Amino acid sequence: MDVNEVLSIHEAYKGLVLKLVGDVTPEQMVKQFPPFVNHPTWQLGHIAFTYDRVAGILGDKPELPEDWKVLYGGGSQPVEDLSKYPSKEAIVGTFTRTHGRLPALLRAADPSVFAKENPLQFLRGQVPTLGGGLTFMLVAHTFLHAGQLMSWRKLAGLPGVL
Amino acid sequence: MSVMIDALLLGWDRNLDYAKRLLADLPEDRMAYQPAVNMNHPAWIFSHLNLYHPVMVAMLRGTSFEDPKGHKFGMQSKPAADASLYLSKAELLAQYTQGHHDVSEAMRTGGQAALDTTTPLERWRAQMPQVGIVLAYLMLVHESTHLGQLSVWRRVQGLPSV
Repeated sequence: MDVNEVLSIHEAYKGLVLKLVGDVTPEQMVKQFPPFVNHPTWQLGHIAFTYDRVAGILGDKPELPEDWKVLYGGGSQPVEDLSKYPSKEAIVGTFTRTHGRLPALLRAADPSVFAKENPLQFLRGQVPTLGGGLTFMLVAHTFLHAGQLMSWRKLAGLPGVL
Repeated sequence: MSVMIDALLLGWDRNLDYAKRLLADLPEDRMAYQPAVNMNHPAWIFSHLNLYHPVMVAMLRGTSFEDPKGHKFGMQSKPAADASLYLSKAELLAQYTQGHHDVSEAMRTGGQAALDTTTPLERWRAQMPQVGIVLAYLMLVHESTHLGQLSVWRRVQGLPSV
């Protein structure tokens, strides 16, 4: 599995996520089914926040404001309140934009960088290298959230998209 | 071993650990419970994931295998509420754990050469021409997606995050 393979999966992920939220109404974007609370706006914000962190790890300047960590970082608590979040159009736009920054950054990275120590401290015990950390964040972690979105659609009574 | 094989196996091991934690506190009589229509339950998810482990091993070893598409737990199957259609929780977990071990072993033994071979299954070959790409998809994308579904299944019923 090389950078191009990771990027191929990365591109497919965008297509899947856009399908998963395509027919979700703006109001449904923050719909929760307690105790499962991760609604689509949070999912997109969380992944955009992840992409922004990865961009930072690859040497680019993170673009998302500090309060995104509170709203979308690991351990954040989504709420069913439209006023607390960007519109559907805005969150989809941020997801797409942060997603789109990564291919150029990954292609430009010196391959030796991927053998360096994983800067994501919470993962380092299990995933010691940067290459492993990025593969996990961009493939396993993102698709775990796609799986959550698929199940959220079932709870919302929406049809499958695959 | 290459950094990317290392990255795949680390993600794979992490998924195994996550799956064990997702299953650990589930009572046997909830394994086929569906909190919403068509929602994938743990008995189906693990029956489905376990189907692909021998396929992955066969591809890595260059041996023949049957296309899993039409299998009773394949991609076209639907989860059923009848728990008797599935193995017990202990059997599913044992099979899953052994399958993970077998795939890891086959990947370590086959190395990069095994990953570079042409995908033997024609319907996968157009999108995923090499075995390594299929493996990356099945080990990280496919498994993570279904484990994400299981995390929602847990939360909807008030079970804690793992």
